[in-house]
Amino acid sequence: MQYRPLRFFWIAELSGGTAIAQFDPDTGEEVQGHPDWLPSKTDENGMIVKDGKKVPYREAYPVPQHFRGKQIVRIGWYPFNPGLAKKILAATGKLVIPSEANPTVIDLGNNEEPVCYRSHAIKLKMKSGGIEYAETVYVLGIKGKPLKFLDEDGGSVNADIR
Amino acid sequence: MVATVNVHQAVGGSDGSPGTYNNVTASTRLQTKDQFAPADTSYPIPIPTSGFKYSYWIHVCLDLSGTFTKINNVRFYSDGAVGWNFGTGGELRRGNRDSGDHGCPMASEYDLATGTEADTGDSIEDGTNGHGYYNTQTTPTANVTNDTEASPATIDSTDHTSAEKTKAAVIQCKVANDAVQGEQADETISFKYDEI
Repeated sequence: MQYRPLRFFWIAELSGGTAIAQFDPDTGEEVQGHPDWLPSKTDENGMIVKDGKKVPYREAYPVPQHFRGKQIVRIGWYPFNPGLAKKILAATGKLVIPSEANPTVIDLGNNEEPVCYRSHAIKLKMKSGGIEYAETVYVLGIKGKPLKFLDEDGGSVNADIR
Repeated sequence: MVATVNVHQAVGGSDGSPGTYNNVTASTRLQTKDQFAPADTSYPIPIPTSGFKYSYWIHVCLDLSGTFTKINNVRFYSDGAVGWNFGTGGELRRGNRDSGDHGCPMASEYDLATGTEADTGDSIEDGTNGHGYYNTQTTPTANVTNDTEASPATIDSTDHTSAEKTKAAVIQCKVANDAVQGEQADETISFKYDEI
């Protein structure tokens, strides 16, 4: 495998009580929630630069029906259960690792923008050790506020080592 | 999904047009020849009688493929202590920009490594034969030992949303006349990136 298997996936809960998960719980297919859906990514004229050209935001990044007009009120990193891991392997061919780690979840207020990404490291041992796909750090927080950095067991990572 | 990310080393070609991208799977070697041949020990860096000798510089980047939404914030670092015996004033160095990303945009700024084979590479800093993306900078190189996990060098801050290569770290050995001859210890250099 030329990747480090995922240990967590995100679920965003939306105003109105619905939710969107990184992986469809029924099919295991990935749902690529895109940060450019966020209204804050547009300039004052509702335009955005894509492929070097300024185009209307909605033209550049059409927002899926289930996301329109909604705010994210809660978002978190959740561990995979064996059933979902099996569906993801079948649907995408990619391995994810189930665990019983605790989820990490944050609440968002009005107009607060979530920060949710993974930080990956690749180590090249120059003489003979080859390539090492090092531990993934899962990052979560609110833009403009201190972030949480989580290791693959869900524990906290020193913010300087991320 | 998690992207497939490999480490690639470019060799050959011409300025602004890399020849071959080699997938680094086992090792790489800083040599006095522009080649990707980790097992070839025929082109060591000689110890000079005075001044310095250099390896040919190498371009090392990340190759992004598979399904992903966005990758950015590519950083480069060492463990802060490169255990090679370079001699006084010698170092493992990285091409450095005075501002912005330190990585070399391959499609426009790739600079074919040059020098005298089996003797010395041209210094990245050389005003005439050095690396054109760096040699006019106020500080054209940085010691890799100063790039640490807590304070890495930003190689590429671009948002990558499709399969492509990132900007490259350009690295080179500088060896002084009091260096100690012999094959050096294994060393680790690392890339880190963010993925959504």
